[in-house]
Amino acid sequence: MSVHEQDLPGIGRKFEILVGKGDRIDVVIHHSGRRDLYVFERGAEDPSTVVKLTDDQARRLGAVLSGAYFKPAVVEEIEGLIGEFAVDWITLTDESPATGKTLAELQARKRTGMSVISIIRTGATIKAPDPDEVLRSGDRLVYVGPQRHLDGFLSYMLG
Amino acid sequence: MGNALIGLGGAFLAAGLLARLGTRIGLPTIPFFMAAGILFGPNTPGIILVREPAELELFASVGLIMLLFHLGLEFSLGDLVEGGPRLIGAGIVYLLLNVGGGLVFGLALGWGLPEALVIAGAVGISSSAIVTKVLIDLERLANPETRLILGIIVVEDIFLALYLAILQPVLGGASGAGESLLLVGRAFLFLLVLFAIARFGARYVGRFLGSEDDEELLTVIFVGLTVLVAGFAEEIGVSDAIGAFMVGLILAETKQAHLIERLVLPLRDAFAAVFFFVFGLSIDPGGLGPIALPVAIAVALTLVLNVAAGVICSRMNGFGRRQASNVGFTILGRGEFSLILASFAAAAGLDDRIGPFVALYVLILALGGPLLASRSRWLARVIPERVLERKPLAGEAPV
Repeated sequence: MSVHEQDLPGIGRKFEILVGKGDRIDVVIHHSGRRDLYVFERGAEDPSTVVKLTDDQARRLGAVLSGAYFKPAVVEEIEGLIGEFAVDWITLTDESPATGKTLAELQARKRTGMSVISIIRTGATIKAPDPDEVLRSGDRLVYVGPQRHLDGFLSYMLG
Repeated sequence: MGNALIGLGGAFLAAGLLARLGTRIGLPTIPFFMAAGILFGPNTPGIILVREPAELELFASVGLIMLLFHLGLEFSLGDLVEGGPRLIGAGIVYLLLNVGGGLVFGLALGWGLPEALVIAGAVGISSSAIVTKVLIDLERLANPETRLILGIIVVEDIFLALYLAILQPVLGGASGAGESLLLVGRAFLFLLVLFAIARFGARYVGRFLGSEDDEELLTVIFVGLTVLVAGFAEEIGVSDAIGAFMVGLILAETKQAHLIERLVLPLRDAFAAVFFFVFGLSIDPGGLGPIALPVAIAVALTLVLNVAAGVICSRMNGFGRRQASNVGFTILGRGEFSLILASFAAAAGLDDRIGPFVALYVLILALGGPLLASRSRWLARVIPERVLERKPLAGEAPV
């Protein structure tokens, strides 16, 4: 793949990107921030399609293409459902009060309102951990629960 | 006061609504703004929004100032240098053919030398606004010849600025060679000072303009600076348009340039519409009869010279028939610059046939240009294939 850059006086810059077997995508970036995509099939003098994007749309498209923006619909759905709930993880250290204890001993949900739903341990993920599972330093605990209980949970588990 | 406001508001509205009809079918706005002035002016039956063009003169001047200020602001010598000698060469070929042809035509009309100079510019310089719009609307930004076309317009922009600077003292009605030399000298001294400020003083001007965080104050101050310098330039015989262009060049060097480019657009769009409208006011359709033939000849001449320029520039760049046709028919559009030159002629009291002549000429090419450009593929057939063929070199087999 080769990219060839050219300036278009008074309009902006043009990037010719050769893809596949002689197909070409030209990207025109206007000074105004607008972007045009011209798609040429092999040997064609006229573009087979032209897409016009605003600055914002172009950035989003770029992020999607680069893989940075990917956000499956399912995650958005969950986020919508959860609302004021927090879903995140903490990483235990040697100093953490929770290290060395079992989930049953800790009774995190009863005492803090937050539930540990899985443990990510080097090389393995324990999805529905047994209450007798002993927590180790370096474990990442995925938790879920109301946002308002977060502070209490963090200090209970991490000190 | 009420009457003047009704006139001004009506002018905006008439220009905007008429141009909206045009944009629906892909036509540029400038000819419609002017047509609104003709239709709602004192020279045609029906509603007369403004009886005396003088009522809106100040607003029209601001429109002209904003047009030239924006041109100066957007102007980038870097763009052109980066484009290389090919682009500059193409621009020079285009100007030599079209302004040169226009000058010969103007002299042949026998209206006088200053008139011929105005006509040369009006016939020879394409409309940046219309050409750019055509390229975007016809989705040709990725075409190989588009860069060539844009290069030609940039060269035309510079030429226009220089031409206006030279023309003003010539039109200024100097009596005798000594006085006109003095006027030209004074104009160039003024321009030199402004150039020096653009080159060396941009930092101080930037500080004078104030912070980018306060868009309100920035707008008020750059408008004040531009209009003031434009007025000063006009007073010493350089023309307000050039003064505004130079302020644009200076501000283009400041760090606020991009923000100002954005802030000036609505001002330019609104007041430039009034400028075109007011130009239309002065046009009497009854006066178009006697100049119809000269206009027809000028249009034909422009068509031929544009295609010729397209062919020559395409040959220089190794393009084919189709590209030559695209170049020739795209840069055919005439608009703001021709009207600015005509308004110069009117202000200088030149032959009053120039106004209607340029109005009709612009009307035809501003509307016809984009139309022809959209058919340029089909029109390419009028260009004989052999004019673009490279002659086989000695020893090379003919293809």
